[in-house]
Amino acid sequence: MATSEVKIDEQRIDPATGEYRVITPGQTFRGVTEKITRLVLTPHTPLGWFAIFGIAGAGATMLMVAVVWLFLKGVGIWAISQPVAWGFAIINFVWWIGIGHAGTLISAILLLFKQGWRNSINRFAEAMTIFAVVCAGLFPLLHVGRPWLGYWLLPLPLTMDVWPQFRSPLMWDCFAVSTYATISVVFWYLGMIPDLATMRDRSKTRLSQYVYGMLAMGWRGSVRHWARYETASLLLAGLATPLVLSVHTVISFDFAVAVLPGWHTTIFPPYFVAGAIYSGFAMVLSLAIPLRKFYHLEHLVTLRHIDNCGKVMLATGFIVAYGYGMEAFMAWYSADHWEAFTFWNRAFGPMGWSYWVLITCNLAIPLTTLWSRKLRRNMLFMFILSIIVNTGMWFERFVIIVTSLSRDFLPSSWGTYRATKWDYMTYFGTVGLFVFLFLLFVRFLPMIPMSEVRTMLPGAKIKPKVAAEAGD
Amino acid sequence: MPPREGTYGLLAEFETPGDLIRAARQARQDGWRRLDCYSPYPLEEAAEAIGFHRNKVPLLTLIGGLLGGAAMFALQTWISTLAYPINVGGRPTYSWTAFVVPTYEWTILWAGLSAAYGTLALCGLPELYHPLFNSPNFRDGATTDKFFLCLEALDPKFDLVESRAYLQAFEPLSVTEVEY
Amino acid sequence: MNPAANNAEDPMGNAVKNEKDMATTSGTPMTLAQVRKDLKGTRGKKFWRSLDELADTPEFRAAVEKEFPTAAQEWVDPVSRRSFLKVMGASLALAGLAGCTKQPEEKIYPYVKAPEDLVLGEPMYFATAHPFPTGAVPLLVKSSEFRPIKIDGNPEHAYNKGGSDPLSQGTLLAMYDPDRSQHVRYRGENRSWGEFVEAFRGKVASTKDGTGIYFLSATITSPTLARQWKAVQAQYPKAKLVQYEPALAGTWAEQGINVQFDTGAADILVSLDADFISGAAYPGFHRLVRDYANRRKHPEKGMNRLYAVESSTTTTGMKAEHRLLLRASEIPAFTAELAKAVGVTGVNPPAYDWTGEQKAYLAALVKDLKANPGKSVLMPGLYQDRSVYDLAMAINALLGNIGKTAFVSRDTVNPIPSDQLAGIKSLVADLKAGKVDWLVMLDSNPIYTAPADLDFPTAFNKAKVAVHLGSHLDETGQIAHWHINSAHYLESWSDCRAYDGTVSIVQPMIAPLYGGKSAHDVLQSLLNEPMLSAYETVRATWLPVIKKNEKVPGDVEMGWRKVLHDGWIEGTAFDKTAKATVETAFHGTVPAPASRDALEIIFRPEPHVYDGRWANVGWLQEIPRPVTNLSWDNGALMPGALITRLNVVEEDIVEMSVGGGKVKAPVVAMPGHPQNSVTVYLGYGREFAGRVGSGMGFNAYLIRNTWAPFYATGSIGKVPGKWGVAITKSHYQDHRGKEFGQQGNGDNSLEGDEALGPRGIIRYATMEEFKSNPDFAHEGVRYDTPSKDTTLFPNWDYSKQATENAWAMSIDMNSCVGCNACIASCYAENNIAVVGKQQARIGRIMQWIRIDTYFEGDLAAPRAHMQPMLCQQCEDAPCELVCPVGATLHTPEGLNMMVYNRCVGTRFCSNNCPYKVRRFNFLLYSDYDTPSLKLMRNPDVTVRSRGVMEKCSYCVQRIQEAKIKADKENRPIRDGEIVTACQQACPADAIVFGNKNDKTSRVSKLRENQRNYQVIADQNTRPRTTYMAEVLNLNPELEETPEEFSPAKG
Repeated sequence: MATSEVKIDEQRIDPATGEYRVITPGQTFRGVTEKITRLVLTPHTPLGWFAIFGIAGAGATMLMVAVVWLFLKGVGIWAISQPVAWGFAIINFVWWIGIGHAGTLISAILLLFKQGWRNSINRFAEAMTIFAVVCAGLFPLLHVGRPWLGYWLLPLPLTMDVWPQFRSPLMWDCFAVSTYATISVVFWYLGMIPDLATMRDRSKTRLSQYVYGMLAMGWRGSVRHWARYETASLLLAGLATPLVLSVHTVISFDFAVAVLPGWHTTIFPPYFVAGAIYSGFAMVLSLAIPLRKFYHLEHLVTLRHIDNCGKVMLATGFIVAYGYGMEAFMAWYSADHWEAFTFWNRAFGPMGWSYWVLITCNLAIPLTTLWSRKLRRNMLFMFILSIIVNTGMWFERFVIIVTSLSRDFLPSSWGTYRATKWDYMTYFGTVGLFVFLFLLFVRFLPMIPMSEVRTMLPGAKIKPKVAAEAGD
Repeated sequence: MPPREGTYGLLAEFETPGDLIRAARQARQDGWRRLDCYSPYPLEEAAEAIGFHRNKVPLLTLIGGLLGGAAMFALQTWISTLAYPINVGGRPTYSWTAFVVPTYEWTILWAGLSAAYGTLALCGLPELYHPLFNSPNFRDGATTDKFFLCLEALDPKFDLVESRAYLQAFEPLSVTEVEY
Repeated sequence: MNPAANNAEDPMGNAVKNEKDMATTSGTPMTLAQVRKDLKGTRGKKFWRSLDELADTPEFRAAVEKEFPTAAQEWVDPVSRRSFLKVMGASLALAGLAGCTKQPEEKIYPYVKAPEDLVLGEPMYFATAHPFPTGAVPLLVKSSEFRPIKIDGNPEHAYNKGGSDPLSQGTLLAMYDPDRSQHVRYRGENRSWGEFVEAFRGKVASTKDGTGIYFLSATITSPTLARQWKAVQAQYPKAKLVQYEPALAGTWAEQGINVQFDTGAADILVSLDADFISGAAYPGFHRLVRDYANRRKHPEKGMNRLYAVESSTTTTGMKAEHRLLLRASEIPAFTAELAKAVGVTGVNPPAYDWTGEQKAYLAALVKDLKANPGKSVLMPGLYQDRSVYDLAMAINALLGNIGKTAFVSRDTVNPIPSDQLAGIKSLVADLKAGKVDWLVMLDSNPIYTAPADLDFPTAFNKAKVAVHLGSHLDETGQIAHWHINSAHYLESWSDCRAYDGTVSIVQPMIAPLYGGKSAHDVLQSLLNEPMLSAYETVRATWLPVIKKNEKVPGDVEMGWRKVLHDGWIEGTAFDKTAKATVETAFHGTVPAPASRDALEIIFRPEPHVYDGRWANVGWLQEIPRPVTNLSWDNGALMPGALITRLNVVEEDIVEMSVGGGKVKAPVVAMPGHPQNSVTVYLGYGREFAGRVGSGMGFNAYLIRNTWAPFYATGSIGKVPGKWGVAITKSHYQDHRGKEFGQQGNGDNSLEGDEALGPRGIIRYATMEEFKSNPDFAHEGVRYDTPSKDTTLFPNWDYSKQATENAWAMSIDMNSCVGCNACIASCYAENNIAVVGKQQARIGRIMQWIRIDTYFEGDLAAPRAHMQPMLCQQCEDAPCELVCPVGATLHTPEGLNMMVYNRCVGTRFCSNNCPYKVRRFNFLLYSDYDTPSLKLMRNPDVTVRSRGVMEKCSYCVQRIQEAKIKADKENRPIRDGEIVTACQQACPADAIVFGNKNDKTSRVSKLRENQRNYQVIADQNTRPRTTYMAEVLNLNPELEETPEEFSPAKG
């Protein structure tokens, strides 16, 4: 990346503010539009894309194999047993959902806070959310003993006249996650309509005009529509914000509501949400950095974005650190033997290693390095760091779920957990699926919201006089 | 609806949002009512210029949300106390504290859906055919970088020749007649 | 053409095909035999479907009505028709070529009602007995539609009062074992019984005096069989009978000695390597344990005190107040020291440097014994030198225990006592000398079990004709010329004596599934009426006795009826009053202990598969053994120090050699095992046990010799490789107590420290503490029970007004001896699936009730606490709260129910269960295909399929049964009317179940007792299952942990 960056380096800082620019100067409406639409409309697909797509496809296939075998044999092919009856499936579920959160956060909360810089990254961040939720959503279905009866979790008027049991956190999950998925998709799609219209108008081939035409639903940019559209976006943002906070809260209830030491704690909701955002932003970076490199989007996804993501991670990272600290403190302060033992077991028990992996990946490395502006601006470093943090967050869930379960109340039923190849196949399979879907997205949909980018271009500035007159 | 014959309206194309807004405001003041502006990104000033203030989306959202929440809470209460009252770990059948979460989720779900579908409905979308798409420069610019003002034929003041002259006065890039 | 063929190839088509065949053959009426032929080869689903189709053809009905006239009306009512079809179907499936499941022709008398008025779906109970070499176990068998489905002790029998043991429970599965041999075979070809009798009888007759005819039999337990043998001998004086019982050969129990102990009458019990608590391997287990336990149920009324001097870790030692670890060879010398100290004359103990701690133990023991003359009992171990027995009895005599706590009588439980080791030695000699023409092996498997030094297999080949009567084509059956498939004791008539001498008639529950024969038939075939049935011979033996008992002389049939109904013959018990003289002087010699650095290898029958006969019984294989929690394997059980010295870890492989024999075994740590010695269990390493048992574990018979049948000095060494073993519970070896909070010194098990310490799971006190503070069970950090109002919500109403019954269970930790009978019983009652070694190894064993063993103190010499753990039926059940579909919920009577049909398998309930008593079908564990297993299942309990959670239900099916009965009779359920499977099996009567709303019920009384406590009460789950805290009657003169030694070194 070096050479191309050096050229535009001096332009990156806005002399007026000394801040990093969100978008490098010299961009016009048409220029931006062309640049973004070309990525999709070009008949020629980069070889790199095919390469990665192939790998990801293989991953997705592996997932399919694992799932078929799972349905044939039963969850026994996984490592779960007594007492550790939840394993990879639930870990991955929580992990993926967490990753999803950053997308919603960027698109919703930053929108509410009028953070203009978010505009160029929120589209693919949202896409990331949706695909993450897709991956997450698989697991609750896969992990139950009789998946074909999964629909019993829905309050349907079935012939037996038997109904679900609403005191169970799993029911809450069921609603939280489905709502989250729906709203994310709606929000994402609504936000994309104007750009789809652009695509429709820019595409040359009949087919693409047809498809994008359909998808754009006949959008033609009437200012009346724009007005309603803006309100709707704000409202959805306003709804998505409490939603995104609630989803991981509810997921944390799956554990907090249980009596199990190590699960039964009130700090989980905030600590889970922070963790989610933490890992989410990490994932945004893992995606954004390669993207801007391969598609030469340095002008639109600038250092400012990477820098800000780094800052957010620093902040949420500290909230998470506080969470860990609090757990340790309460273990001691509560003077409750169950708590104390569980904490000790996490750190020094047979599976203690996983706790230290988590501390290293989530606290030791990121929270020391992210302070440095220089490192925050080093693409390679930030990329590696994002991977590290996501590993750490995965282990956080491992520690919470597996370690706590492995040694609970009755010492007689203490056990251990050793993942099988099917566990790994399913996990990495979903990673493959995620990348697979994401590549399809960048290939066929505008990954950067043009309409929103336009508002940030100099051309969009209306002469103050006009604006003033507009006021009355 | 059956395709109508004749002219839909006159379409003026502008280079900058400023020109559009000025023109739109003028037209409005001159008593034009059936007119509309088109821009590649949200342009509130233009909307106000043509007198678009009222917006029903928030109301819809509110109603949707309240209904969703109420429905879910009612459903849970009915199920747990009347339809299928079972002794779960000695908890009371009406344990409302547990019902809060799904209620909350459904409030958001239905509010969100109402907002989205409401907007589309109010905008009359999807509307895959629109006369404006017949004008090539609109197709090229409206969703990219040009700004349009359209005086519609349905307006009583509309006259093909005068109106065109009227629009020319705003020095647009072009004025085109849009057929149905 | 044969429709079976098409069935096999073309399942789709066979429906039509069958119908066609029926149509065509309709001219000639079809018979069931024919149907069987048609169905032969079809299995599983296919079988059942084609059966259903069959059922609708008129010919089939005709056939059925011909063979089952009573069943004719069943066809009207669809429901009973179905359940009848089940029986029919299964019988067809099973029968192979033989008869089908119906009552034996002879009259057998049910416990409650006569068989002719059988109501399908309603069980009947028959009294019988399990003939076991150490004494019969009187049984009451539950039979549903003529299929025995549950075995329990006979509640009215004076000997075991309803108690049973894992082995007796397991025999049920042994009978339905699909791998049983089904045919008489000659050189691998099917023959008929008749052909065998012809050949056999002809041969023997030709010898005139029986020269060259040898019988090798397992210990003969049946008086009738003995009578038959005498008849044979009278006719053929030269014919020889050798008995060989691998687990008992050479023990005093086989040598015409009969002694009964009364643990109830003794205050001081001393076990000299006598493992009378572990299981039926020790004569009189059921009664000894029951009486022992009864003396511990009311500590306030005083308790007995158990001293255990033992050479291996057994539950006896773990229950003992004071346990002394001695290497096997030290025990005779120690006994001699004891005898001498007590004052037995003629003892000169071999010189030996006893440790101070051993001396102290001896002193305290002697003092205690002398202080309680006539109120103590010394029990000699089976697997010890004869001198231990003699010394022990001498001491008993000296202390005046004879006639009070120990009774000796001349007549023996087993009618033909003999020195079995000598016997088999002479047999081998004769074989080698070529004197043996016909070797007839009755229910024994010498190729596998014979002592290694005899090299039996080579000698065996010298026999001209070898006949094997056995349930399986086992190691011997494989190479014997003739193999006769034997009938299970539930299939054939016989008789046997219990510990106290009472005779029970073994009456069959079911006609032999595969037309098997018994030893009775084999011997009878040599006598005048060769085809006289076992039934007749048994009657012939006992009718005279019964006649004597009859008040109304003449009506023998009434008496016979009563005998079968009750399950025993009055007045056949040994005469206790007859004072057999026991000398207070000792005449033998006492062997000197082996040097301390010689490695001793101790041979014991395996706690569950015994001498190997039950290797193919899945339940017994899977249920974790007492103390070790080892399942599916036997191992080299050794102390930590030895593990360190050999520089191995568990699951490493060691090679042990004794004499010429070598055997490889996995290392398994045994807490509290004496130093420098290894315990190996016999009965594993079977080659031809069947699909379950073959290839499991290692064969310890290979290093067991006639010159050292109980313990031998040998050598041991590490060999490369790993041998994964399935230890089903958290393993004390993995976690040492030093870890958390520095409690424990690193030699303890963390589990033990946690359970006894801060978690308050095990609560106990010494007698002194108990006397000074009877409420000890509720004083401590985590010992308090939260009050009912510590909740935001209103409590659910389980009061008397709200519900007539509120079920509850109380388990007395003081009398539980950890014998596993409850687990086996639960498996049988609740159709619990066997998961196999690999699944058990990763913690997926399905047992609903388990016995948690916590080791207190130094693992080198721990005290163990055994706690049966099953669903606690919490009133505020955490599991129910988290089930999204309400598949687990509460009944008004407070049962925590599992609705299998509703379960989607999220497993959250299991995660949220503080007691981890829920079990999940991770895979399809239940066997849906094997027909014989279908027959065995309890029809009142669902067979769980894959993906479903299951757990203890307090035997809800039994509760419902009782409720229906009570409703019919319009009365409340009586206390004790409902007995859960575990409770029923418990020989110690440690489990009590009942209605806590009925203040007069046993369970509510126990719940009011101060020793009553809830496990993990502080979580406020409000369990309905509660425990009675232990009280240990320690001898103040002895400290707690004997040896100073650190297994952290191993």
